[in-house]
Amino acid sequence: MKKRGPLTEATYYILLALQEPNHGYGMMQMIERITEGQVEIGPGTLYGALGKLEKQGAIQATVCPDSSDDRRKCYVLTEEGQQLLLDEYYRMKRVVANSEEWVKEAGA
Amino acid sequence: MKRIRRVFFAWQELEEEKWLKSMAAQGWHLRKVGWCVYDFIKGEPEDITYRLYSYSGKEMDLQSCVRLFEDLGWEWVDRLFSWQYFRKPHKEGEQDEILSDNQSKWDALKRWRNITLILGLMNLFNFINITLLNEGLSRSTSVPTVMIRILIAVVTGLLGYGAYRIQQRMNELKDSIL
Repeated sequence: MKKRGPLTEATYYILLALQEPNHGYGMMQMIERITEGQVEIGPGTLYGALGKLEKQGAIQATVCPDSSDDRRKCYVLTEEGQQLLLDEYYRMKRVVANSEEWVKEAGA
Repeated sequence: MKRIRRVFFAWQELEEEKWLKSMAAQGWHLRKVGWCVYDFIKGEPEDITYRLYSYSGKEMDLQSCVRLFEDLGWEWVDRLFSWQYFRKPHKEGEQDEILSDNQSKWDALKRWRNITLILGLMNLFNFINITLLNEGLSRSTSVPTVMIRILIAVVTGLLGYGAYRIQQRMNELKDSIL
């Protein structure tokens, strides 16, 4: 997988929601729950991101755990996808750590 | 039932979305879309958001794309080529965009600009071929040949202009990011 810059917020949450096999509907429910409704991803953005991530090998199509509707497509993280998520997590953590001093000084 | 003939160019999808919304506000709800033709059925006036989505996947995967939109509250109305027409009743505070971040807006515009550009270049090559290169056709001044020449020139011009308009929107988007 080619090296890439910071992930978009949507891409990050999509990866986070795909640690278990999931379809679009399940992903959006999970993202809404963990962000308390602060992150809402449009269907075009979600569909486009899934296509891109699959092409890059970060996720793969898989059998849905609930076969409620066979039109629904499910995905799950690959090992590369896990790594991508982890790398981004540590990158953001560093960004926050690097800002600690300033936040304390600013008293914010 | 009401049939309206109206031309929207490929770079005018935002205007088209607004127009469909204003029709719904008058109680005319979109039923079918054709080449410059829109069929509406009469119903109650409603506040409906329309969105055009340029589908880029395989034909056999379209249903899974439509299902995803349905899962997120959008109703599929019809399609025209790769353009998929979706709608949703407008509710205050609800996500109204199908492309919710700048990255995906950028990707969609870039894809559409590239298609327009490639088609434009193909037409340009055709035009050069029949006006300058091709021995038989370039010397011909018969009415059909001249007509075709003009037609291809117009199509090339429109595609070129379309690519330019989409590029302008990409530049605006870039300015809003940086």
